[in-house]
Amino acid sequence: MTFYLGDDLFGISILMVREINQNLDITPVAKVPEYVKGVLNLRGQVVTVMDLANRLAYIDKEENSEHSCCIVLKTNEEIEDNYGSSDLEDSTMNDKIGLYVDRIGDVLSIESKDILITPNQDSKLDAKFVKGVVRLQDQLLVLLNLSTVLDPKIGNES
Amino acid sequence: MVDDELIDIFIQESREHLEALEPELLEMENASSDSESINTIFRGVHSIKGSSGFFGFDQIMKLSHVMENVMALVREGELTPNREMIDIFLESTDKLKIMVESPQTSTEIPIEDEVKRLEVFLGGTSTENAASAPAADNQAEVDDSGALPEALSGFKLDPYILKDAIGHGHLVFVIDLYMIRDIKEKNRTPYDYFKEIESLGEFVDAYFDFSVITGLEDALEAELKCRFLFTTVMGSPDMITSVFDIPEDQVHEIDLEALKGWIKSDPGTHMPASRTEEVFLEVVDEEIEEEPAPQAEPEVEVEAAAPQKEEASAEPATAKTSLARQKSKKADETVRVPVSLLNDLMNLAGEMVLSRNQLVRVAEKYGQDVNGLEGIIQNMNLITSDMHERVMQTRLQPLAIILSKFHRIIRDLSNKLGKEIVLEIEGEDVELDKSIIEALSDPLTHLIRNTADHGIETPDEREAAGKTREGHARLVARHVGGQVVIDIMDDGRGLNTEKLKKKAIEKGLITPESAETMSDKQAFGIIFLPGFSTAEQVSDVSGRGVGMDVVRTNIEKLGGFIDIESELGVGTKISLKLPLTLAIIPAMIVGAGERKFAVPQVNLEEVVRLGGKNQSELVRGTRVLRLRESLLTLIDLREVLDLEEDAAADSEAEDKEEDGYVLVMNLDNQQYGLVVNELYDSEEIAVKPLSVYLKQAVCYSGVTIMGDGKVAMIIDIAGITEIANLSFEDMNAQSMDETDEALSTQNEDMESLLLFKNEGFELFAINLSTVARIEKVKMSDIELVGEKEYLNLGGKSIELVRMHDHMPVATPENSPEQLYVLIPKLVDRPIGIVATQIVDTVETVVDLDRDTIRGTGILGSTFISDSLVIVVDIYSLFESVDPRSYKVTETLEHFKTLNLLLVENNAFFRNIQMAFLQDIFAEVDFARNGLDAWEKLNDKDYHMVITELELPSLNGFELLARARKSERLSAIPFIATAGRNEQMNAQKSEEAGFNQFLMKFSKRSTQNAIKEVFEKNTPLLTNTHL
Repeated sequence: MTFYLGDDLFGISILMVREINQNLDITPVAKVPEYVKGVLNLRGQVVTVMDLANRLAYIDKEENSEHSCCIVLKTNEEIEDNYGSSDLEDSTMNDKIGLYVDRIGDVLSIESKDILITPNQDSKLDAKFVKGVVRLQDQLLVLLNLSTVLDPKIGNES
Repeated sequence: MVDDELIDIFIQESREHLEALEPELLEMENASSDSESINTIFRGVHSIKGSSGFFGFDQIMKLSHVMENVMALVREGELTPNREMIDIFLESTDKLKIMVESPQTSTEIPIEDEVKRLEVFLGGTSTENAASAPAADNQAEVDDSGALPEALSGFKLDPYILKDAIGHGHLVFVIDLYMIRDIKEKNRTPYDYFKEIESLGEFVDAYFDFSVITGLEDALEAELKCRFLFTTVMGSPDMITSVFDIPEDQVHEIDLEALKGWIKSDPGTHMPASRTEEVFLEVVDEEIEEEPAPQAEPEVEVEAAAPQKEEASAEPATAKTSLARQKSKKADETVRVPVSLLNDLMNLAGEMVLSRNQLVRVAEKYGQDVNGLEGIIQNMNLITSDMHERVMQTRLQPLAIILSKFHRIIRDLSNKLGKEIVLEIEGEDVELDKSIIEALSDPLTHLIRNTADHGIETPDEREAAGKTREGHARLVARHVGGQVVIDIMDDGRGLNTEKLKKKAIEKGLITPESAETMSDKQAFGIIFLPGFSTAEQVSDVSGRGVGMDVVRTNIEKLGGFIDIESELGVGTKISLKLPLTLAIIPAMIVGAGERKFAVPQVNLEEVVRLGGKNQSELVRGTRVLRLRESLLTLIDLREVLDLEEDAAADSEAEDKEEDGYVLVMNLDNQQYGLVVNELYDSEEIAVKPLSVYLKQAVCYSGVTIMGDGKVAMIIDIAGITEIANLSFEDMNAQSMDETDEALSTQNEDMESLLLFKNEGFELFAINLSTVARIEKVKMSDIELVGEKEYLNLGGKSIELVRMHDHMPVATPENSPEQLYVLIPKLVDRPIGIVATQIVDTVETVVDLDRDTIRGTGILGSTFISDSLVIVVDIYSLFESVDPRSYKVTETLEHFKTLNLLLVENNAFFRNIQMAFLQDIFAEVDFARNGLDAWEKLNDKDYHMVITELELPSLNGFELLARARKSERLSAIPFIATAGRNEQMNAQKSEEAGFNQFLMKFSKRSTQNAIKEVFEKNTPLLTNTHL
């Protein structure tokens, strides 16, 4: 599952994704970390929406474009229900979390041999959030390490 | 036949019986043998015995059987329940619980010990056989008895039941049920028959007759039969045939005489060798394969139960006498539903509400176009709300579910530990979401155990400490501010912080250095450290050292909070604060800035509209609202949550604020006002948990989805105050640095004024601290003596004054019947001031204009809320009314060269006194507070200080003490004044070394005091100038 922040392409495992939502009626919440964009009502469930660009300290992003949307992640429980206590190498949270991104990309199949363990060359990003990089034909795809991206105990200062 | 569904029903029923049993047993211990509870216990074990016997769960049957026998003796009054007996009963109940949960493996559970101990109560002969293993009792014994009717062979006979039943006039029957004819074709199960028997009489035993099967080949065709032995009050075989709908030849009446003879000859229980459990179950399995069991789904079961009930009630005589009939039919009224289904239902209901809302919105637009649509939608609206609510409720469970077992735990523990503990439980009906209830069970149990084990002392220790022998533990659950608080309190030994620290250091959990600086509260926290256990002797009850940190982790996982308060030797209180997650609470939807929030109504006392008369004021940097007689600290939600984008536009913010609302909240008995700018609706909201990110902000207790589908944060009242206090502190700290002078001046000049009218349009003000009280009087209460009016007040006559008689103010045309009299205090001779209307009290800084309006009794004028107010000078008014008492006859000329420092923080008094003192002294300076005065004293030479005792920053006593220590200032005479507590302050000031104490407001006595002080204390000084 890929998506854009600004012009750069990012990816997370499709298995972590519950749905993609275009409804962006996000209620902002005061007094919470800056990267929390707000809360969203997803058919009776409250989803906390994380402003991914802010979280990654990623400046280069479009302001609420018409393509902006919210990738709603599965909770750990849902993942376990679907795939058993699998070795998915990544995890989400126990809460319902959405990622606010600028644009949705394609769903790609990535061979694990194509994943390069990141050299710390992309200085825009904090290495701890990155799992690896895949060289696509025309650009780089940055695979995110969701468990660290989502961990509230980890700060976003580089 | 013995199908999993049936066993499930057996398990559920037995579980219910056992659960009902326990409280009765405990009850029995407290209130000595109430026949109803004995019956409940008897019925419970009897029913378990019956059904387990039917299924062939022999171990369960054996244990419940012995229990039943003992209980029967209790019921007959032959045995009196004692503690020992209840102990063993409780233990047996526990065993049964274990066995019932997995009946198939129940044979693996040893019950000999319990059986043996129970048999002690039965006494000698009657029980030996029951105790011995079933296999040991064999066919031969039955044969030996001889007298036993042939029809009874193959049955396991219980002489107690038989004897009891015969004694009650029951008849004994054996019925044969054929598998195919009676069971398969009638679509019934043997268990149905069993239930029916239970409703008509006493089931004794049943078995399958396999003698007809010679081999597997004919197993399918063979007429397998099931034989039931039971006793009933029904008097003839034909009644049986009609009830069970079976031919007469399948009913055999047993000759009672023969049976009686048999009971006498051999009262043991007989277990025919041919019927061991193994055989029974094996063949049953075969049976299932042979012919598929009739559909025995729960619905069928319920349906079957209903007609059976009717049938039974058709036989009134039967119904009344049969014990089994009295068995409550609770099972029929509840349906067990998997929780996951409830979760799904709840989500669906939530989504339905949202769809409904959308529909309603669309219908608003187009509703008129379609005939009848509006009505339908309105109906659907209501139904959806209703349904939503109900579905939510299905998940709520009362705390009683977990609390009720604590009586038992405490009881067992007190026995084990040799303590006497009384447990009180309050708030069992507080409801929480099922998931929380479940997750709460273990931590609470642990805490209760800890209380009993560590908290409460042994009776001897308690007695030595001067406490009652029995320790008290209290568990109280209640709703507090959208949360549930559970307190566990005991009056035990309390936590010993020194011991805790020592232990923690020994275990390397803390360093000695950190122990030094630890507060008590922090020391209590040690018990939550992983790997800490305080008990000197680790017991099996608690104290494995894994407990408290696990408790804390679990509570915190629930989004809760745990807190300990303790006092050594007095007791300990552990508080759990839990969110209501998923619970439904009524809340007020409010708007702050552009956003909506939900405020739990639990804490909401009232709502006040700001503006008009209700203006907020600034006191010491804090916004307050005067609400009736109390001051309410205001917290602006927008400020707290930083919602005000442009905080700099102060004046604008103020304007906005005045048309907001104040929610008067009550938190831990403290009131404060929450300012919001919009008030929408009150809604029942479902509290949803906060995600980890949102929990970081302490100001929310949850999140909810409102009727319009929008998400709203639920305000945590306690959290908001916390943040507000922080920011107020910041603000105060700031102002101290920057605008100290200006602000403190302003604050100290704050006066409470009473606004009143004297019939005319003029608004008068009088300082509230000079008014002793306000009396409401009728014109007829006022007596006229000469030209003066008097009022009889508590046996004393008080002279009244009409302001217009002495002051240059408007004279009312006619005096109304209803009057108010202001009685001033701090004067030598009170004179009542007549007012016709009390308008308000305000707290304000008076910017007194002395020039515009002048005259007797007028201090000046000022503007309050844009109205001109005349500030009354009681002093000069009284002077005019009663010159004899108030007029200063003598003028002091000889102090005209001296300087005076007046220290007074109240602007009103200062104004009055200054004017008068300036006539006496050469120079009068004033200071607003103690520090100011101290500086002035050091800068300039004064000959006398008159100071108020209660001052900010440095009070009168402290000021005096400083001055007395200074060489230069020690000789200056000090006169103390006070606005209240005259008696006490007079004494205190004398003790402190003041030269004189004065009540404010008396010119004459002030003058006298000054004179006296100078003459007495500094004769030199005065002489020089005289």
